[in-house]
Amino acid sequence: MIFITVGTQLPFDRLLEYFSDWQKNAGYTGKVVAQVGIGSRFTSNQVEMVETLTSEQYYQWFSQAEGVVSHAGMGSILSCLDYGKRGVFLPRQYTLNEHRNDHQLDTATAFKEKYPTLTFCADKQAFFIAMDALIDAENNTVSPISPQLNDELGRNIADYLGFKGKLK
Amino acid sequence: MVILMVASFGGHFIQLKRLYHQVERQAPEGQVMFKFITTEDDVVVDNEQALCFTNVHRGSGWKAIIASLKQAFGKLKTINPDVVISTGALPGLMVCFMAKLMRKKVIWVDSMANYQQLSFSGRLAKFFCDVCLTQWEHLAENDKRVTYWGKVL
Repeated sequence: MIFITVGTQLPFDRLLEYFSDWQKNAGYTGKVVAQVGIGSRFTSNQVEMVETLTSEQYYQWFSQAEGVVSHAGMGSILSCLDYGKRGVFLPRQYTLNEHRNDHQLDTATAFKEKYPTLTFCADKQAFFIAMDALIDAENNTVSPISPQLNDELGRNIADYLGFKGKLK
Repeated sequence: MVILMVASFGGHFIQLKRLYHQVERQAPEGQVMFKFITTEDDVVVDNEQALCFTNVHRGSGWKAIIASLKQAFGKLKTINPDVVISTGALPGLMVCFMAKLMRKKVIWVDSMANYQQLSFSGRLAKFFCDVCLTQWEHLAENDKRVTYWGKVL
């Protein structure tokens, strides 16, 4: 199963259209569930669609998915790492009216090639290549990255708030 | 000590939950209470029901911003935290701003998404929060109002 998510704020039909084109092109017949956002105009009979998801529903689909396709949002990136999922990401672009600024291009720059299981795509061609690779790798398991490994930020905040002294 | 943690539902809240786990592990047992605010109903963190806050963004207009500040005042009166920590976005900024007016200690943690510059909210937060944190070292290098203390990842 492939899980597609566009995040909580805005629809992102370009991603869904790229996916749909790839799906036809590659002849992919597996189950696809997509969270498309409020106001999406995307239609397809090959994709099960919901506008929004609760946390529980989101994680339910997330943990079942063999692969995740998403906008370049931090929630999806962190969830892929937490749940040991391969992810294909397409950053939203300001010039295409897909977000209020271009921070997703910056996020993609920050995470590009940091994790072998996460692929960030600049265009449709790169997206197709990444999707083919996602399907090829479907049966190779990925280990989740434990958030417990690093707590530098938590320790610094605790020190600043004086957790070691007497608290009121 | 009561710590109020605030973030919009979605990626901001996923980062907030990770931050909560990092901070909570450091807390001396039984001495720190955590409360949560997000922009969605029925969200629970570690058996603690998060309070719901109306979503606002830059395009919402002044009336919505003022209503949001009023709502922040109400929530802060009820919860009466010693510290407010937010990972964004604009609703978090509203709560942080009101919290600062109410003389609470306020920590802003800019989203990891912002790798080239602080978020719009972060660029405002750095002027009034006690600590304004970025999650990328290089963004703290040339701005004395912005600090790097680590990441949620």
